[in-house]
Amino acid sequence: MIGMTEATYFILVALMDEPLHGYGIIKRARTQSLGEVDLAVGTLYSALDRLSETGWVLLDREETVNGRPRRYYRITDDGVHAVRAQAARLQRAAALVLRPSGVTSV
Amino acid sequence: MTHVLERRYRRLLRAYPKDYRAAHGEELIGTLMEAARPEDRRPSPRETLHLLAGAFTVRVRASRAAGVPPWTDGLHLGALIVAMVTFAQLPVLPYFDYEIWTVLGIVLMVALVRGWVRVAALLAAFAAVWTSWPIVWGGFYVPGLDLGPMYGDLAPVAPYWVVAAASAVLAVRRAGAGRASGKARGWGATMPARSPWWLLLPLAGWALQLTQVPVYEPVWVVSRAGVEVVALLLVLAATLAARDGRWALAAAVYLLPGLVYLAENLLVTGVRGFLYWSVLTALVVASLIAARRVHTRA
Repeated sequence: MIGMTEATYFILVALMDEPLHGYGIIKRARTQSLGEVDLAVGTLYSALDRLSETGWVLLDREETVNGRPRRYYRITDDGVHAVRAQAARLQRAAALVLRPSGVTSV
Repeated sequence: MTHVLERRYRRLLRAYPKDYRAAHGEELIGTLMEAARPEDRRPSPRETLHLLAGAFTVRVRASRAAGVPPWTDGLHLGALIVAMVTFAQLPVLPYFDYEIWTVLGIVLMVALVRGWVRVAALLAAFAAVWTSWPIVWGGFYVPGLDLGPMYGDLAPVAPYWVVAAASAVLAVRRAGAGRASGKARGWGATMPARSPWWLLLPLAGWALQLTQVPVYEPVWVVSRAGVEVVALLLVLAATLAARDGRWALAAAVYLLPGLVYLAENLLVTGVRGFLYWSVLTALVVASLIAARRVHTRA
């Protein structure tokens, strides 16, 4: 089973609502991780390259803002599938500790 | 007027390859400027570090051979480096010894660079059998032809067998893959070609022989160890950056003849020798472990 780094996870989660551009992804990942994931620009673009190659992220559209290209990235169905699988794994792992009745032994 | 911070970011982006900058440079500058605070005048150490790491990753990823499984690329690179290093050390100059063997080596190295793995497999197999003649026949019969060196020890013949085995695996695999896709291609390129700059390595080795400094002089021994350690550290970094095990495999192939040498000379190896081989082995093992770990993470 393929695991996922925290940065990859929050980049994919950030794209689940709508396509975002580079800085949009950084802002949303920061908000959604409650400030825990602060992506450096170099890291973000390395991850986007890799995720494009894996087929989990696609270029959605390009706009020009202040004379600069601004590219929006979109998550693919495969990407959604991968991030959901990771979320389910995290939930199972968390459930071992965070049961309503506290930690129980078998 | 361009912001001073933007100028500094542009200077940093020169670490990325030219074609990557042409495609993504302006987009990166846009994101970097958006992410910066208005009072920032220079890139933060953190952003600088991550941009340099990003540039290294892009360069490493760009060096991967396209259209073949990663392990074949690693095996090909490993075989090429072992062949280069072996022939670079062959005492050819200044007296033009081993002419026929040198020509065989040049054809073998060109074949490996061009990706003609079947030609390489055949030549390397011949070289391996020839150099091992005294071991196989116990010095009982030595052919009258003086084609090249023959050895009675395992260490000097190990590189030839490593190159022969790696090329044979690649040749057999491509034959199978070619048949499956209905385009088996005879003796031509069956692996993607590698940079012809690699051929400078044996040329540099032969040029060094003109200096007449014996290869066991400390200056060469220490320089070679230094180059090996730096190269293996780069392999580890590349494995982690590109999340790809091909360079770790190439490094393991490179280490193999060395380990044969160590095994054969175990009793006469001193503390420094053990230290040297331990460092190289530890670095290769670290890369292999890193390759395994990154393979299971997206």
